[in-house]
Amino acid sequence: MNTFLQRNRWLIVAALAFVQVGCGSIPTGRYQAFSAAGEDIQSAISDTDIRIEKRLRDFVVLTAPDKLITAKTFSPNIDGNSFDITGQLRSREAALDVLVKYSNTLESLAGKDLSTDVEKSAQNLAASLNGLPSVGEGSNAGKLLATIADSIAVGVTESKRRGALKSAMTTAQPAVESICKLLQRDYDKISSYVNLMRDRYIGHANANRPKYGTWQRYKFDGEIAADLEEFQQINDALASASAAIQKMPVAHRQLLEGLDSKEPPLDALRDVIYKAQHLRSFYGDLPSK
Amino acid sequence: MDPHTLVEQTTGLASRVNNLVVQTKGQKCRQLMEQQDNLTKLAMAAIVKDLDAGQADYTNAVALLTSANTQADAALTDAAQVAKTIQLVSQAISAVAKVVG
Repeated sequence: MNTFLQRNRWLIVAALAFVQVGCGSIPTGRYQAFSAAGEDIQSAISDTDIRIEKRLRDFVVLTAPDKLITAKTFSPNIDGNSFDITGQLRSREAALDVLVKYSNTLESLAGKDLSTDVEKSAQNLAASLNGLPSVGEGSNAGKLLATIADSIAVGVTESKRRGALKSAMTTAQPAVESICKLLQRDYDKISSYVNLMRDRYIGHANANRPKYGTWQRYKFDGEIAADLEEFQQINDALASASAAIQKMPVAHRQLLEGLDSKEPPLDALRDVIYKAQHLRSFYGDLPSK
Repeated sequence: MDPHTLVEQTTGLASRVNNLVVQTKGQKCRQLMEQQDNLTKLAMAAIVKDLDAGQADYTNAVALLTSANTQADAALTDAAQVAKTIQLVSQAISAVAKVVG
């Protein structure tokens, strides 16, 4: 793909999504836009998680006790109690990956891909389900989506595509709602966790700030300002991703309704796309991690 | 009891201790800073784990946090109260560590 298309992939897909769909044809562009938005959210969350993990490593060094260094001095635990959030971040990424693989499958099914591509997407969806929790809401969502992956993988002819989409999406709606609820629940936790690191960082900065009017103070403050900007951007990215994910179940329902209606409401889908687009611009001014 | 109470109280105590750090010097200041680091780490550990707010240890930790918070407020206006605050914060830290352990 050339650079122009790469840069504007998103806009092209979004434009296609809202072209009036003729009677009888599947609104392929909407599925492409939904899938692309999911990938953008996933990419932003992955970038955000890397930054959170880096901040955690910094935090552990910043708050290391005044004792001799041991092999465990810089591991995220206090007296043997772990405060490492990496596991939660990985679980969240796995749940989001399921949503993305599912939306990829819908995109293949809605498009004119060969049946092998549809099957490949379905297999990727099935593989991603291993990352969901084995108990609770995540488990139930996984079971529903596994049924879909199995039935789609059998192979779908063009004429049966619309029926297969409707059936898959109707079955998946509760699973999409459950996964998004799981992701939403984690947002508050992660945001609070990041703010605790930020506040402690500020506390140490104030305790060690060089004297006013010195060059050291200027350099020191510049470094602190850059770090605080990153904290802010992490918070903004978490909030935007959360807002986009919150709208995904309604957007999914609107996609489903669009299979039967010429002019279905698409506001939630547009919201998801807009927020996903916004997420792509995060961290643009900061060095990559 | 609300499962967020322990995190909120621990975070609140860390914030009060931070205010005391600004007002103190020397050994007490260093002790308070270390306590503040520990309170923050414990609050993070409490966020990471799904705590059972119904346990006796949880209730005990929240009670000690409340006492330490009240004491820290008193120390802000009376420097003579700082030593006792350090002692109560230390007890609260031990109690919270037991809950997240």
